[in-house]
Amino acid sequence: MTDRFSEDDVIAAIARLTRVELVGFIEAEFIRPERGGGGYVFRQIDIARLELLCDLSHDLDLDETALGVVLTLIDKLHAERQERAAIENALNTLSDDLRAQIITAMARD
Amino acid sequence: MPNDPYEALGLSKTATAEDIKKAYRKLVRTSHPDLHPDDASAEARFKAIAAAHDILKDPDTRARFDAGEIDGMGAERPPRQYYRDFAEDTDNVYQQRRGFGQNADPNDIFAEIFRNRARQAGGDGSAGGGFSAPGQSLRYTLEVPFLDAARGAETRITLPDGQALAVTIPKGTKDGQTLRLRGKGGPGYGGGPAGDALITVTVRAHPVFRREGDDIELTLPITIEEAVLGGKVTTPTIDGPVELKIPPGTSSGRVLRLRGRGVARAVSKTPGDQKFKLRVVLLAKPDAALHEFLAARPKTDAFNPRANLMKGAET
Repeated sequence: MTDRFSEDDVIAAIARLTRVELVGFIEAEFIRPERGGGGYVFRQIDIARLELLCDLSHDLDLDETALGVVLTLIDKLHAERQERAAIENALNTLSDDLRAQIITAMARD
Repeated sequence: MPNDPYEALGLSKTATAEDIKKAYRKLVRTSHPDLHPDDASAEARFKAIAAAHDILKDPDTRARFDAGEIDGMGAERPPRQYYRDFAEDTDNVYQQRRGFGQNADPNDIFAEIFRNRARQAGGDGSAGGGFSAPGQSLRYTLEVPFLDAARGAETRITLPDGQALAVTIPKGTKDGQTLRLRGKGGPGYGGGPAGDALITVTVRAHPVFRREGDDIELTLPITIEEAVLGGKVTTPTIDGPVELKIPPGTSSGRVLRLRGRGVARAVSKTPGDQKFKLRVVLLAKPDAALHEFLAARPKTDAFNPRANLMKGAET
């Protein structure tokens, strides 16, 4: 299964997405596909993000302004989750002794 | 998945198209997997909601369902992938920032992690997996009179739950400063200590005193006699009235300073100063003797305070 999609592939894959909307989302920089020789090249993450954009704009009637706000918050949310996961992973590699020290240090704050 | 799309959206058969839209929107907000990346059951809920909405949003398919021609599973959606499944990819171009932002407070991040652990472990006070964490910080604001902030004071604030909290205002508390009361915040998790109460202090302005760092400034009115001849005057300070010596020939606007009579903060070695900005005040109608004396003085150009006013300041 390829993980690169053309503009036509995307329109075909997401039935409810119109070409005008797709261009609008790209112009608003909600979606940032790569530019290949024959036009835009989309990845799977772009398609999943377009599905989300369709849910927000079609089902929740968000206009472009609100869409931008919501998308920024979602991106921030994921950034925070990633940071937290990184810290949790790091903590899990530490010895019990070190973790106990961290907890003590936190309690001191 | 319930087989009845009305049930899935929490509606009755008599729902209007507007009701369907409203119910669906509300459920999207609470169940969309991309809006709730930590909720494992969101995807199944959202799938059921979306399938039900697919049937009911279109009057034709709704009528066919009502007539029993199709069942609630009739509009099974094609499988789709959610953005949250990609969002954490390391090569995600939509990632806002990588690593740890400059503004991230490690204390907050750690405390949050351990709080979550404590909750997952049952959160009933037992130390789940040996982890415990301090409770949340609770924030309050408190307006403090100027002199209480400068000299230090004891006060109480009433919390939303009706409890009163004794607060010590330390000497020299500044406007906007936050006081931390250890252990007066939210209860701890997993046997951890209670959080802190954080009290942000607003210092009320004073009609006489002004604060500049640890210095206190006030404008002190003096008479023309005191300005010309000098002398001792009584002036207020934050710690009560003191005698201040005015040197002879003092102009309006001159600033006198009493060292160490300003704010004495516990953390600073030397207390601030008390500054007096002098202002010569005349009677609206000078008494006749003074008036005559000044009028009888010979006019002389020997002293012109404006002679050098614009010198070096022409541009």
